Amino acid sequence: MAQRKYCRGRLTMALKIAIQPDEVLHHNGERQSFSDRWFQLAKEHGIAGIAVDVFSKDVIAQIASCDAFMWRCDPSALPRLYAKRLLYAIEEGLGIPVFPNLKSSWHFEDKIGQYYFLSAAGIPTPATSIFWKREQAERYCETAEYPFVLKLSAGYQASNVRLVRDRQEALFYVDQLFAHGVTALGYRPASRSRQLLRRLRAVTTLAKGHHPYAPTEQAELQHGYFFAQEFLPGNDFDVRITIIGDRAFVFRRLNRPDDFRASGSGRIDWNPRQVGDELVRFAFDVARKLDAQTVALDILRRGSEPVIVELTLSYASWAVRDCPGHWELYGNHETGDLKWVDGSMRPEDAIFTDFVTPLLEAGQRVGHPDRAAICP
Amino acid sequence: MQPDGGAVAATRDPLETRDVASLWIGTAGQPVMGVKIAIQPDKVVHPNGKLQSFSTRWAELAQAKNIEVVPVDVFSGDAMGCISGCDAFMWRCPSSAHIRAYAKRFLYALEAGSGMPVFPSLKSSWYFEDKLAQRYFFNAADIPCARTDIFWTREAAEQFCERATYPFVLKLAGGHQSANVRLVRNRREAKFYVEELFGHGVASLGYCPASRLRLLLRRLRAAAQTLEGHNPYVPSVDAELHYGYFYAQEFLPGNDFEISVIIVGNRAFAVRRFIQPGDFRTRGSSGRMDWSPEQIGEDAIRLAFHTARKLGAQTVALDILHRDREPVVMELTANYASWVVRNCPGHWVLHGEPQSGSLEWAEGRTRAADAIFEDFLDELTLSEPIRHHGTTQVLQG
Repeated sequence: MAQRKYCRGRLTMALKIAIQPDEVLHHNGERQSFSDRWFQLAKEHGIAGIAVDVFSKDVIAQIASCDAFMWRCDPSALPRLYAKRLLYAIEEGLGIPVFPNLKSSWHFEDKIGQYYFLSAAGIPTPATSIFWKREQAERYCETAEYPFVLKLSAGYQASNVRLVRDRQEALFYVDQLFAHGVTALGYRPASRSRQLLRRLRAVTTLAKGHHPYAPTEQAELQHGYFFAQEFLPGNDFDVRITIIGDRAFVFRRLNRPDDFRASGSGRIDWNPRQVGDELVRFAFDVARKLDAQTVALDILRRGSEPVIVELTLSYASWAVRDCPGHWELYGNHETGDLKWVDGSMRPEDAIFTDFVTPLLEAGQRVGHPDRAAICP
Repeated sequence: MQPDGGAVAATRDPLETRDVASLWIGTAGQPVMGVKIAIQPDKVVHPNGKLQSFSTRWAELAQAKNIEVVPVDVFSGDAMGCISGCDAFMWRCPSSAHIRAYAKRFLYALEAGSGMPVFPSLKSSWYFEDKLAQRYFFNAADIPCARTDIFWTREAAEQFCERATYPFVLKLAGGHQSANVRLVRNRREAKFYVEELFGHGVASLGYCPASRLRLLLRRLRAAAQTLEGHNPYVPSVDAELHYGYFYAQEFLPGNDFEISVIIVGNRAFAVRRFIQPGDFRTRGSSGRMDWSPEQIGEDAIRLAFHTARKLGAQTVALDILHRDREPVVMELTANYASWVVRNCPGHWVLHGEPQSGSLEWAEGRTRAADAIFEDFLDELTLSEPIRHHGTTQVLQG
């Protein structure tokens, strides 16, 4: 068994991490690539970063030759639905550390799963009703308090969240969700003639050999459920807390003008004094119950009580990086010390450090089973 | 406990002989720790007319142990609240797509959120009706399986069709009906399915390639359904749209039967299911079957134990075929029919590791529901009380 060797006081050996390249260009022009940064950091730590292609036929063999696997997966439907399967198969089947691991990714773009988790864990959320039968959803529309917020379970765009103002609108969406299904809540209720036109357009699409309600690479077909959440007035912003290990990065996202949604508004306030300690502790509580490597939480208030609205795995790195500092928790989320650490930190760096540290420590204890140490 | 069929297992698993009730029950016969198990009622009538209800049996077993059973309705708005007052939750959920989409979320959210033992656990259910996930798992865990290619783009699937060895088996990720499995005999047929799967998507592989006229007729029918406001390719809420992938598996000729091994803890039950005449598929649990244990190779039993251990599953059923003489796992199932297990004249008990441990034959019939319940009680007793619920600090101000 080859032992790891140290050169110039640093571990330099053949710890190999398989990394799937990722790249996103955000609307504000920010280019994001977790993998680019991870390759760079790996090199600095004397770790071999091995680029893999998850869509290649021999991906499992590629990853099997490494000690761990990292993939900052895109939230769009096709890669996400694939990633959920591959990541867990690697984690359980190969038995190697994976980022994101199951505990961090099972709720990925699944608001229904998130709501059930939060309920089971006794974490405050907005009052939510989920219906799995058309009749139940229709009955709810008769007695519901308007407006309420209708959400699709998957989808990170604003078109997947609607403020439903009256019964007619609600019944329109019940029909959409239980009849043909939707990939987004793009259509609004319309006159009969307009609805007929929409159907004719769908028939034309079909005549051309396409599916009018076909899922796309970005969005899956969602149908057979109705997810209604109470509207919480008086929230001009939400608080986004991104937890990575024992660190919390906080900022406020102000609503879009004349809208109730803050997500994607791009209007961010990074002033940490605007977010109280109690919210940071609350966020740590949720992340620890999830036992997630990282998670971003959107928090609103019902009156004075903070409630979790959504969990996000694939947050944008630039908004976290631009935080002027972050909180670090030492000990229990209720009683432990919260220390403010000044200065910007990239989430890619925090994730990599947390992921690699136990691997390096284990390597120092045991040595790698079958790989020769590389020391110039 | 007298299993169905009257015969009592002569050699019993240590778990079965253990007096589980004594862990909680005081001398007066009252629950000492007030153990409560929430159970979702289930009921299935199989095509052969056999009625199956795990929940009914579990309630009987619980009563015999003085354990309180709380029946729940998972579809009610207060299901989580109802379960949170209990110590564990059990649900033998059906495989239909709509309920499955719900159950997978509900079960894992409960397990992760409350920390209570759940049947089926995540490790027993994540692969449920998902052959894609299963294939990645088999490869990652180095479990012998049929050679399978999965393509995520139309171009890659089309390229495969050009150079594939025919026939091959095309499968949908989910669906337990034979309409979700096809033997594809030539390139034309393969390309038809590529078009279906990357075009509009399908709920089943029911349609075969057809003449232009017939295709036009199908499209007209779809147009009529669209005009009525329905989705022609998702005929009901219970249908699942399969789209954007192509799952091609090598055809393994020379298999007249498949071996179905059902693992519950360290027990293995096995049956041979024969291929239908003129087909390459079995008819699930409604075709010809043979429960003779001497016809089942030990290698298949060990492979099944090995796979179940790798999964960490409470229970799992495996379909096994042979490539030449080597047993290979074709598919995993979480919700097998209980009467198939009950008809086994006995079962194997594994002591030790799947490859090297001893396999002991235990004579006599056993109900799957009984074995699952006994193991689950054991899990419940051993699990630490790490309930999250009720501990959240409600923050003010």
